[in-house]
Amino acid sequence: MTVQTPDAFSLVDGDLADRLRQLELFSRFRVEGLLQGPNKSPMKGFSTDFLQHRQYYPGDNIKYLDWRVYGRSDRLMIRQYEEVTNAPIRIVLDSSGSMQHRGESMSKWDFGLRTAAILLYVAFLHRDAFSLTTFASQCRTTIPRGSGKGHLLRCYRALLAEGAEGGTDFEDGLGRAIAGTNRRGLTIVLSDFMDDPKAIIKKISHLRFRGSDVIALQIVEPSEMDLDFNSVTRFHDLESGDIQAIDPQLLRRAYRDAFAEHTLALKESCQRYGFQHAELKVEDSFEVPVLEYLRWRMENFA
Amino acid sequence: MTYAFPAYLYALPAMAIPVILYLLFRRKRRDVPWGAIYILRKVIETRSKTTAWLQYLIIALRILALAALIMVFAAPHQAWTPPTDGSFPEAPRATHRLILLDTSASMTARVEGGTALDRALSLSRRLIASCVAPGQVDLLPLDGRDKTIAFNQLPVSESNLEEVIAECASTDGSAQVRRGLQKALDLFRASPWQRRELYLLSDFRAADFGEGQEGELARILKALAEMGVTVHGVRFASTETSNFALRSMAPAVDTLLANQPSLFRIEVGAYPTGANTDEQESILTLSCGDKILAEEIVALHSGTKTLTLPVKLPAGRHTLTARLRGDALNEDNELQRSYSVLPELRAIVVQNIVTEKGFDNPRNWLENALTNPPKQGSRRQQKHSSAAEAYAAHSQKVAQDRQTGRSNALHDLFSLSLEGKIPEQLSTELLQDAHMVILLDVDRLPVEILPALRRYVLRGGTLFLAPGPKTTRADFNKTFTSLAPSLLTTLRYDATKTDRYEQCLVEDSTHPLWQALESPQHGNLASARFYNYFNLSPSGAEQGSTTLLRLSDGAPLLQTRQLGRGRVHLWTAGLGGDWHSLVVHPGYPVLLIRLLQEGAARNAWPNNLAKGQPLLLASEGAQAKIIRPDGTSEIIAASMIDGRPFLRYDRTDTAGTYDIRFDLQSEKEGLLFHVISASSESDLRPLAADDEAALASTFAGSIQSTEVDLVQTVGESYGGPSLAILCGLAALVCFLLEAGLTRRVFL
Repeated sequence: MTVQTPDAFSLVDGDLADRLRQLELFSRFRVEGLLQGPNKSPMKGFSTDFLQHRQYYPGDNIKYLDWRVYGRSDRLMIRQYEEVTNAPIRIVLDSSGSMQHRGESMSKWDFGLRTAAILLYVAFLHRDAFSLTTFASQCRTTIPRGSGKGHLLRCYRALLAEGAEGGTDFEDGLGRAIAGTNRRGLTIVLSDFMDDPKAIIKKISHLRFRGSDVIALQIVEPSEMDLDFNSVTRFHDLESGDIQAIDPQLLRRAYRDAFAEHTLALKESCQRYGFQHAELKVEDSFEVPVLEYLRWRMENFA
Repeated sequence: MTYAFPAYLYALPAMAIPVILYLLFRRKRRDVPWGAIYILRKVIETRSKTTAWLQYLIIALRILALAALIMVFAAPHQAWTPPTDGSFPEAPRATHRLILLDTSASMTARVEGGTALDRALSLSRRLIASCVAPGQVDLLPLDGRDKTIAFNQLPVSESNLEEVIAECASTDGSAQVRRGLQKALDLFRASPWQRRELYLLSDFRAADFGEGQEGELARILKALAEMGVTVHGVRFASTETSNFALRSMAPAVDTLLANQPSLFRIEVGAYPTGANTDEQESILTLSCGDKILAEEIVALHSGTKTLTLPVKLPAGRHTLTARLRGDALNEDNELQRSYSVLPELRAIVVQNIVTEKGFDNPRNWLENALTNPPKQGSRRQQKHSSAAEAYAAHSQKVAQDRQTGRSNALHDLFSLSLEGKIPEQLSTELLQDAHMVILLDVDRLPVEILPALRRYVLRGGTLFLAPGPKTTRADFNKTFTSLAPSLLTTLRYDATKTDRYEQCLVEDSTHPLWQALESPQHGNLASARFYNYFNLSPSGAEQGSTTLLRLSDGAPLLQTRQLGRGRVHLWTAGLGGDWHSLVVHPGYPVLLIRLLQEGAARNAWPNNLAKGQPLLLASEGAQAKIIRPDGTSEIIAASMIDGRPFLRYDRTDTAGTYDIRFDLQSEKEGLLFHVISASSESDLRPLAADDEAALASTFAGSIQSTEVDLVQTVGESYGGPSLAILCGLAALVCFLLEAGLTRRVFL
């Protein structure tokens, strides 16, 4: 299948945009937003959601005194409400050469690009502050946090201007990509994670320590999961150009096991550090996997 | 290690197929851009060495599996070790074994450890006993009966085996090898068994395998080979034997005359085998009962030799036994024949009433030659020691004995009775007992006599027509048109011209009538002079007449014609002394006695018969017991013919002696009749060199000379315990391992 390169406005077209309106991106944890939004904030404010009572201290606005409590117990108590805010959402996309791998449908990069576009659009719909970072061996493109339609177009253009090439360095590339994240929010990492899962997760875990919610979306091309070749094959490394000539029949089982083991290790590491891990399989209907995932997340965590 | 089907080993190069496929696929590589190279590299780092070894192991397993599979088809066996107890190698399961057993007479020849047939039967017993179920074994004696003895229940019980083996006796004649092989072909066509073996146990003599039957045998053997039949032959014959065989014994005429020396021609064959080229010697003894009549040493290299022994016997029925000294094959060293010896020859001389006397009357010549003994010291007696002389001497002695009353039946010479009659006196009763009727110068007969005379001839009588000077040709021709061998035409010469004469020539010197005449001792007919005679019309040949004697100008002198069982002779020169000098020739009486004797023999039923010829004799009672050569006996009833009982027995299909006893309870030997087998059927002649080469080519070297060689050959073909199952298991294990390693480890 030939995938035509989309322009910034066609990444999320009308039908898809309508379907995305029903979805939302939210953090399972409290986020430090600037505007009002659906996410809980660590701050206590005066919204409609009652949180707790607190002793009145001089200087507090008496508007928030709970007179009913005072009437019953003769104590001055301040009513505190939970503050809700918008979430700072960061999309981190792997643009290394390995993302160029193409199966029967689109390449992993094309799939990741469209998935990132969908996620950015969902963030845009809910007026979340969103940012985009791509990385390979190092951090390549960074669109700082912002919101609004203009910011979305800027992100889309950055995505379209990017190409998957070069090697991957999760230590340096991903490290730098997430280095500037100080505020608690939601970070979504889109990658095939073709490296040591423990090292990758260890690097991402810094975000979790800072209080951010992290989703590791692993982009998997189904043809990669198996060595379905009958004769001796020369496998070209898309990142370094190295060639591995092997008889796939002899390694098929081991490869399949290693792939499954790699995915499992990634999943376990994510669970251990409190991340969410999801496997997005590349297919022609690129929106289906991510939409299903978002729907599942809404049903389980909203 | 031996292989049951070594041809499959040609498939062994197929073991290279896995290597070739591996190399071909290795060369045909494709380029694929791969994203998950990290995982691939990790797998290669951990599994590369193991994988390489497994890869080679899988190729090795494939090669081994293919090799083991090929070996399964080749069916290897361990090397065969000869059994210590001398038993025959046990046949593999599902084997159909057919034994063709030569039971011909030559198989009774002695070889090491008994006769060839004994050894063949012993081997047959071992061959049958070594067959195991499931399978089949058949025994087919090559006696021409095509009767197969099948053993469907294996293993064969000892009692059943002995019972069957006991039935296989030697038979006369040669082995019917071609018929046996054809029958084997039919049996194997219908055989459901996979492994088929044919064993031919024979002595491979010329009588069985010669006479150019190689082509036919080769055709059948080729057909058998195409059906997968393994042919084994065993030759039961000594390499060097000295063998004599009595092939035939016969006098000139089967009916002998009392104390008349008869020349017995005994044909002896010598058939040495091997490289023995020295002259072989044996002793021929001719005996009658306990009395030895003649003994002679026979010396021969090889081939046949005819001995002529003069034998004289008293009147009666005698059984003569010719016997050779024991040799390799005793069965053919003895011949028995029975002969009737007549004390008297009776002839009726029919002549018109004549007035001539002395030598003008031809009858006087006859009587003088046949019934008057020569005087003592006559020239004839001194010069000739012939049958005529012997007859004359004995006639004289008999006459003297009669005069002195010292008659002795044992020494009495046969007598000749010439009864003179005129044509009108002839009658059926008179003709009944006559051995021959001589018509001297008779050209007319009463009309009522001719049918009786014709009936007499048809029933075996002999009529001798001797037209002479007084015979009217036209009358003779008119009277004897239906009887005479030929009709008279003209007289050859005028009787007055005595300076021209012809001589007598024998037309066929091998004719039994002339055997005693064609020698100086017994009188050579060629010295007689013939001055006149009747010419005969050539129409005689058309009605089957044959000329026995011919004159030097080509005209027939004695012509004969078969009529029914009897004969009519026509002598064209008269029997008196008017037209020839034979009457004073020593051969004259001998010739007449021969003709009389031949007539007497024709009148009698034969004692020595050919196969299938009916046995006929006058019976002494209403029933008779016949003991056949195979020991079985039958009771047959007599038939009445002309008021006299006669026996007729038609089952003379087996050569040998048939004993006929009129006293059914008697244990004493009765009248012996002999059914003669063909002389060529009982000899030990080996195959000629070219026949031997043809046979070896036909059987493709599968004929073994000893049983040990056969056991070795068969044992090696069977091999030791089969390794096919092990190879099959190995192939299965290799296939499973290969499949396991390929599917479970790599895929």
